[in-house]
Amino acid sequence: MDLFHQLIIGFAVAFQPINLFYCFLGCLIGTLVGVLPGLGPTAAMALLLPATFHVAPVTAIIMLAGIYYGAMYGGSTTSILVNIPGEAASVMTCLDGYQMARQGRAGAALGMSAFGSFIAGTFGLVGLTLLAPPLAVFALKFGPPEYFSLMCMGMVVLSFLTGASMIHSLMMACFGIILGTVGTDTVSGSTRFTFGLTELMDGIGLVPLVMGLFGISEIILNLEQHVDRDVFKTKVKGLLPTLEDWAQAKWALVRGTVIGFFLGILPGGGAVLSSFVAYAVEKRFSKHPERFGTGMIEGVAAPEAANNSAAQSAFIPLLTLGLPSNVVMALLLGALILHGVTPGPLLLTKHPDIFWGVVCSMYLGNAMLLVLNLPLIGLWVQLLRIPYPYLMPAIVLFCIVGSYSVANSITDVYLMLGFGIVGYLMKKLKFDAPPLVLAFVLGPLIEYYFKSSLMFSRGNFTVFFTRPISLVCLVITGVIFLSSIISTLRKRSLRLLPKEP
Amino acid sequence: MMLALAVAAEAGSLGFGTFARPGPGFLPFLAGIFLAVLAGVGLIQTVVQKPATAAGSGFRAADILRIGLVSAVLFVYVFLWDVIGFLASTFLLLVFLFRCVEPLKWRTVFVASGLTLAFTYILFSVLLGARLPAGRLWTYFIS
Repeated sequence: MDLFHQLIIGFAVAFQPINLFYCFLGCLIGTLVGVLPGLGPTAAMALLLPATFHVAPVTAIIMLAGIYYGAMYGGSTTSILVNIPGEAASVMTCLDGYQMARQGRAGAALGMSAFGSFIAGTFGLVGLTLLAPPLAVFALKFGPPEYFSLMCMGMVVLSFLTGASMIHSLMMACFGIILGTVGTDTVSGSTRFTFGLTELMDGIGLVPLVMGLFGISEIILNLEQHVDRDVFKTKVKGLLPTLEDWAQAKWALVRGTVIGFFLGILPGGGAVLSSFVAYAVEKRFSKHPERFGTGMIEGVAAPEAANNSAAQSAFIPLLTLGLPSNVVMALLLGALILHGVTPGPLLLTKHPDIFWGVVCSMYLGNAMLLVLNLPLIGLWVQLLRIPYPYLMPAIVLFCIVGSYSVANSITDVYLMLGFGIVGYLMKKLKFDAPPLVLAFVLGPLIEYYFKSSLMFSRGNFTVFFTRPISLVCLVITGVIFLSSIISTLRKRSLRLLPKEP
Repeated sequence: MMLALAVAAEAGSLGFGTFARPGPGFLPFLAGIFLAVLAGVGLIQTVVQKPATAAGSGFRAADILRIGLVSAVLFVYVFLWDVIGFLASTFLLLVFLFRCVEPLKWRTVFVASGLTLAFTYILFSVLLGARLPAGRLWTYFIS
C-alpha cells in the first residue's frame, strides 16, 4: 500500500463527523488551556483522558493530540498580550511579542504567530508523513535489548536536557521507575509496594500522578505568589502581517521549522527546547542581534514555528517506536495502552486507521486552529480578563473530579493530592517532573524488555553490547552521562580557582 | 536516600531472582540502589557547595501555613464525599476557596460556587456518567 492510499485511509477516518468533532474539541480545549494560566496541556490531557474511554481509540488520540498542539497555538496569545507564557513552549515569544504589542503591533505579532504556527505545523506533519513509515520498517529489527537500550537513552537524554541538575533528573527517573513497579507483577503475579491496599493492586494510575504533579502542584505554587495579569486594553487589529513582516520573518520561519522538527524527534527535545534553540539561532543569524527583545517579528516567528513543528514531529518516535520523547507523548502512550493499542512499528500495519487517522486529523486540526486563533482572538482576549481567583477553584475541582472519574476511586483522589504536594516540593527544590512521568510510563516496558533480554541471553549482559543498534544507544547514553559529569566537575574546579584581584 | 534504601530492602524481600531468571524485586532493587547512590552524590554536592548556593528556594512561614491549610481542607473535602456526598461537600469547598484564598464578596462567592458546582456536576455526572458519591448521611436519612 503506497503513501497515497494510506493518506486516503487517514483522511477518510479524520473526516468522519465524530472525529472532526473531537478534533475541533481538542483544538478548542488546547487553545483555552494555552490561553489560561494554571492548567498546562499535560494536566488538561490527563483530566480529559477519562472522557475518551467511551469513544474509539483513534477518536481519543485525535482529541488528546489536538489539546497538545492547540496549546502551542494558544500559549502565544498570553505571551504577546500579557507577557505571561500560557505554557512553557511560549516563553521565548514573550520577549519580542510583548514588545510588539506595546508598540501597537499586537495584531501583527498574533497574526505572525498563528500563520507561522500553521505553516510550521503543516511542514512538520509532511515530515511526519514521509519519515514515519520507513522508520517503522526499520524499527521492526528491534528486539528487547534494542528497546531497553533505546528507552535508557531516552531517559538519560531527557534528564540531561531538562532541569538544572542531571542528578536531580536521574533521581526523578529512578523514582518514576519505582512508582511504575507498584502493583501486581505481571510475570510472577506477586504484589509489590501495595502496603496491603487492594486499590493499589493495579498500580498507581497515570491520571492521578500527572494531575497531581502538574495540576495541583501548580495551584499550590500559585498560592504563594499573586497571579496578576495586565491585559492590553487597546483593541487588537491588523491581524494579517504586512509584506514587509513576511519578508523579515520568512527565514526565521524556515529555520524555526527545521530546528523544531529535528529537536521534536529527539528524546527530551520537544516544543520547549526547540523554541529556545530557534530563538538563539535566529539571534545569531540576525544582522541586528542587539534589537532582539525590542519587538522583532523574527523573535516571534522563529520560536512559534519551532514549537509547532516540534509538536508534530514528536509523534514520530511515539507512533513508530512506541517511545515517547517527552511527557506529553508519555501521556499519549499511556492513553493508547489504556485503549488497548500498543504503539510501535506494528501500529502502522495492525492499525493503519489509527496511525493515519491521527496524522491526517492533525492537518485538519492545524487549519481549525488558524480559524480559531485569528477571527476569535477577541474571545480569547476576553477570557484572559477572567481574574485568577475565579479560575483557581474551578481548576482544583476539575482536577479532583477528573482523577476520581477514571475509576470512580477515592484512593486515586488521595493519591493525586499527595502527588500534588510532592510536585510542589519538587518545584521548590528544583526537581523536574517530566523525567519522573516518562520513567513511570516506560518503567513497566523497561522492566519487560530488560528481563526478556536477560532471559533470552541466559543472564549474559553482553547481549546489550553485541547488537549494533543497542550498542549505539548505550554508547550515546554513556557519552551524555560522561559529558554531564565532566561539565559538573569543570564548573566546580572553576569555582574553586582563586579569583584574580 | 532513606526512601531509596527502604525500597531496595523491600524489593530484596520480594525476590531478586537470578540474572537468567529475574524475580519481581529485580528492577525495583536496582532502581532503589541507583536512587540511593544518586541521593548520596546529591547530598555530598549540597554539603560541598557554599551555603549561599546550597540554600533552597525559600519557604516562608506564611506560605507554608496557607498551603498547609488548603491541602488539609482538600483532604478533608475528599473524606467528606463519603459522609455528606459530593454536592454538599463541593459547595462547602468552593465557598472556602472563593472566600478564603482570595477574598471575594459573599454574594459573588455563593453565585460562583453554585455555578461552578452545577457546571462540574453536569459535565462529569450527567454527560460523562461518573458516579459521584451521594453520601451515607443522606442515604441514612432517606432509608
